[in-house]
Amino acid sequence: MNKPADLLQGTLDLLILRRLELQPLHGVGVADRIEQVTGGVFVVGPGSLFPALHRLAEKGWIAGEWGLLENGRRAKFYALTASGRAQLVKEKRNWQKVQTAVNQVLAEEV
Amino acid sequence: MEWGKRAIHVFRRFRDRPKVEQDLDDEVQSYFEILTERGMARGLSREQAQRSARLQFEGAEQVKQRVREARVEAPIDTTLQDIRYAWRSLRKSPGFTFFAVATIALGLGANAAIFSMVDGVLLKSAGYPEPERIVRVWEKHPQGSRNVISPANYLDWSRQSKSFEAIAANTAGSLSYTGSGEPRSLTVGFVSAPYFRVFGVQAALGRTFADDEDRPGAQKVVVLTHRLWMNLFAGDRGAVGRTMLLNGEPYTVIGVLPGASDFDRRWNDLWVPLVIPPNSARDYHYLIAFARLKRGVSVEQAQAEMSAIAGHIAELYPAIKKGWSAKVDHYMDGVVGRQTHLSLLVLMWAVVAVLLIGCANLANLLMARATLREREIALRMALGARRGRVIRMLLTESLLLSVCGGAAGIALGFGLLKWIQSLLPPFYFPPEANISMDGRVLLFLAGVTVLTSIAFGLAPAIQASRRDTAQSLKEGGRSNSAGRRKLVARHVFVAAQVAVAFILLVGGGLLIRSFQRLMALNLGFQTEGVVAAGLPLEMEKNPDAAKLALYINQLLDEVRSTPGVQDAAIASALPLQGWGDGMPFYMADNREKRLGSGFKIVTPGYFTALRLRLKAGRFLDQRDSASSPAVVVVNESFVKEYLHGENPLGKRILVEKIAPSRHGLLAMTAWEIVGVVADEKADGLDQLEDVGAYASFAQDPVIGLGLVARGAGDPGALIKSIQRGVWRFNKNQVLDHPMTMDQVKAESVTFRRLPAVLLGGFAFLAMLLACTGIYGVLSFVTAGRKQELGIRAALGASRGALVRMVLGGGSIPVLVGIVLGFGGAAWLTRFIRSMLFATDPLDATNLLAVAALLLAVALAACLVPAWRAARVDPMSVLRQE
Repeated sequence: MNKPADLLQGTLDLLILRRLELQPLHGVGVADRIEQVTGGVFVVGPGSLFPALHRLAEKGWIAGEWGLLENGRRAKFYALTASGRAQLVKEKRNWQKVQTAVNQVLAEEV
Repeated sequence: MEWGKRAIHVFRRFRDRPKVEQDLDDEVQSYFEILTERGMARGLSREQAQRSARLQFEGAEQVKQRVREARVEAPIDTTLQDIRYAWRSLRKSPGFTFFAVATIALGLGANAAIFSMVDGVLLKSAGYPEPERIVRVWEKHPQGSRNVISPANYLDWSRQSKSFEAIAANTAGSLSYTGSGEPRSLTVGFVSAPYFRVFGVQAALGRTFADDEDRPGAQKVVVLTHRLWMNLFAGDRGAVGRTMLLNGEPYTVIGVLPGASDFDRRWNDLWVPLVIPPNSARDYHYLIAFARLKRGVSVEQAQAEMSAIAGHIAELYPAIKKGWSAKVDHYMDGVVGRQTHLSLLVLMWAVVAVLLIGCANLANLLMARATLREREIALRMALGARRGRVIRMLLTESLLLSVCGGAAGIALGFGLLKWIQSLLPPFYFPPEANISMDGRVLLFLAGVTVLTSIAFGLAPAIQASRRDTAQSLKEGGRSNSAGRRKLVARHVFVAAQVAVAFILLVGGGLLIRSFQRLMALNLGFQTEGVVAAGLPLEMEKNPDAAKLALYINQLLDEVRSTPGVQDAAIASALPLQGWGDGMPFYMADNREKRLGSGFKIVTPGYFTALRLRLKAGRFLDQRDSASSPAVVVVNESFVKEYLHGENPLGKRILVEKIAPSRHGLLAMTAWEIVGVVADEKADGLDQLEDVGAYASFAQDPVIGLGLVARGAGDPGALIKSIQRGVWRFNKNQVLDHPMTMDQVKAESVTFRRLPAVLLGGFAFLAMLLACTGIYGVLSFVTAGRKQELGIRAALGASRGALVRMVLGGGSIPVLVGIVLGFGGAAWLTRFIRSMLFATDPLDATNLLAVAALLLAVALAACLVPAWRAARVDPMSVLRQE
């Protein structure tokens, strides 16, 4: 059975910030994009997406704004703020560090 | 900065709460719609699309809840929610809430009030700097007892001693103030100049006495208490330097003492230098001396020096000072009387006991409640509540109870303390006692109750939340084996409560019985219709015997002619306020043996005014004048003590006459005993023996007098008309503290009445609390046994049998408690022996009465649940299965 991988703790925040860096999106859009881009490895349900979005908004890294979809439906669009942009840079650097470190450990194993 | 912003943010969200929630609803809804539309776009029907969207959502409410929990203010939010919930759930069980809150409030309030008193009287240090250096110096009687000081001795001591930084003699009196309006008697402390240095007190305004201001011939100066300054001068700072008329002489105000200090809680309204002339008496004792030890000098060193000085004086004046010595005591040790000390300690332990009973009650109530709620908790957990959340909820409930109870308790404590203080006669506690509600005490007590409620509310909750959910739901709060263990714990609590309540009731009962016996006692005189007042005289400075006698006779004539007055008399001490003087004397036929007796100087009307009963011979009367032979009337105790069955009439005793100033003695005089009267309880109701003699005022006129009068009708009106009569005679003559004899009697026994009332009250409270406990436990047990009782009823058990069964079960811990209480009371009541008047600590009537009362009340508490159990309808109970 093809089960979506579990997200690493804190990774979801990074993924969301990264998606919103490109363009403002509503919740479903964020979930869709993450699923698409990761080729279905990460599936983000509303149960984790909503708290994550609100947590980020709470920290002031993203801001929500009601807007209209093409079909005229109202949806809340989230956009990256200036401090969110700075945070993303920090998180990216972090991630790279972690990744390199983990890779090094793995490489040594071989 | 960051925090400030966050606080504003949180505040805004609280303010806009409905809007924020609406926004979240909209957002979730819109997400849901988008998912549904997408499903429909994939060709699903609307219903199918909605179902798949719902599946993806894993519950919209849970999602929203997790969003709320992610917010900054989430902890505050849940707390508020918990409090709201706790409030609702407490309101839903008003019986439980009432008993729990009342228990906490009563226990806390009683403790707060009594501990504040104990703290104020026994623990808080006095306001004096280095109080351990203050000592009290006494003369020591050849028989070893402490004695007040003669002025000549004091002068020698103050000149010769090296141990003290300052030493001061002190005596109290009164001066009439006639500056404005009605004449008024002010209580005066006559003190040596260094007095304020002994206590380390400085004037708040002006100065205290300079060292030479107590020399003969010095200018007349006065230091006011803050109290009197406010009263007479309305706090005018210009009062210093002004003169005031005291006994018709001008005194210059030189200073005002600090307010709210020990000096504002004393009798004394003002202070005047005590002038001791160099040729003062060595054989008449009336001074009290205080001293401040030099730094580094111990009490023992001072004692050694004073013993040496006193020994030297004894050698110089062997006729009057042979065998006399001196005694030095720490001042603070003597501040609180032994009876007061003991009463306070007994009351303190009584309220501690009430608190313990209260805590046991609370524990019982909370344990019962937690058990009854096992099912509710299980249900909550089955519906997805996490354990931490459930425990938190129950904890909030316990805390809310404690807070409500605590607030009520503090209010109650304030009220109780105020009430007790209003019962106290003025100057009941020493001036050093500073009683106020103590923050530390409150904090400690609040801590105790909170801990109790947490310990006994939370532990069962944790236990319940740990249990198997399905099991709890199946059992549905019915009793089980774990419940049995808790039941034993509850019975132990009840037995302990009953035992402690029993002990308190025995103690309270003893004090009340002892007090009743005291009040029923024969005073030796009739109080009804008798009023008494102090009679300070303006001529007190240099009284002349002839003028004094004349003045008093004219005044008495005026009083007797006042309408309503039947008898009036003068005495050197008012009834129940001592003998006035205690005099050494010799029997005329045995000049070797020095004896002692109370010696009261009265006008003849004293015997008739008080209705003293004549036992032999005659009362003093008009025949006994200054020129006739000296005669005395003695009391029955005197005859019993010194005459051993001989006929007292015609015997002579040798007593020195007291000087009119009452500050010295005159010639040794032979007094013939002409009458015997029944004992007047002169020193107080509880004195069993009261040896005394009465001499005629005409034959030994002195100052420091009191007026007694008997009249018909309302005593208040009588006092007023006597006052008017006195003022008609001399508009500057003061009647000091006029009171009815019944008031005097009541005040003289306050130190026994107060502990009796309070301990009795606390014992009653303890009994009520214990009964609440019994009632609570039994109600709980019968509620748990409903099915069983129903089955018994269905199988034919009669109502009577069911009631007997429940009562039997409930009365076992009560009986155990009473037996334990008997043992405890037998052991503990010995400690209050000295507080009892003619009452045995193991008074059988008292023990039986208390046991019967407690048993009756306890059974009444059992009866309600038993009755409820007996009325169980078997069909409805069995149908519930």
